[in-house]
Amino acid sequence: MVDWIGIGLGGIAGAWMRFFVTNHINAIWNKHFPLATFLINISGAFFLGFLYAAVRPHNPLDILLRNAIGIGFIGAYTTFSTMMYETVTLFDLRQFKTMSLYLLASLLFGLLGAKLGASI
Amino acid sequence: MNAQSDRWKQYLSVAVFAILGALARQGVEILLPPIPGNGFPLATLLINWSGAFFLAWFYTITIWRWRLPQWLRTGVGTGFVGSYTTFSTFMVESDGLFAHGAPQVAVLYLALSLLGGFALALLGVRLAGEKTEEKILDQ
Repeated sequence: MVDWIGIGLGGIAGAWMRFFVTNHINAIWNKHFPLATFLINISGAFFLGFLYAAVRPHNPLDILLRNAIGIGFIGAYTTFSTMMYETVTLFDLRQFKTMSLYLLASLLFGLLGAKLGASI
Repeated sequence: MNAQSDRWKQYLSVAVFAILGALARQGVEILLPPIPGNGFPLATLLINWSGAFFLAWFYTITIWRWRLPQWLRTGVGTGFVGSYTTFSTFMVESDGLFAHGAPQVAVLYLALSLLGGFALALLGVRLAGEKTEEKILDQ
């Protein structure tokens, strides 16, 4: 039960942070490349890799931390659906180069981030 | 409605819907453990596919056809679906598959997530009737 509460509260914080970061970056960024979601997703991949390597599930407190921060906070902070919606928007705007760059860079830096986070 | 109180309403709505999104994601993850034998992360794939389809459909249909208050559109889109789908778990799972000697499963997972997610999001936008609306506006 306490793990579900942790995931719910972590989810609030993660979604707020994503909403906040997106609003503030979009206020100063006017290019097609979806910079806000890109930065959110690669930073989240890094921190989740780091958390899961740093906090092993040995006792109930470790498991609570992994659930609340990993599944709740970072899971809700990063997003796949927005990335796909932005990709289709770029597709419909015929911004194929930006679209390909967005997907490839998200995957490459996301994977590198997760690996780097896990190996610190 | 002034901008300040509207922003406040959006943050409150994002919070309430984010709880539901994060809990729904964890519910699906528990119901569908990775496929035995090859460790394929089926739950995250289905979460991300369904969320990509729904968000694309929802964001498009609420542009013209359904007039929702901004706090509700942001709550459902940014709060619920944004928290339901996840990129960080997708990356950590892929990295884990590469690291644990299953690179072909990792590549399959990456390709299915991206290609399927894109196709479903495109379908969502088209089903929400963007083209139909353009036709109506052209008449």
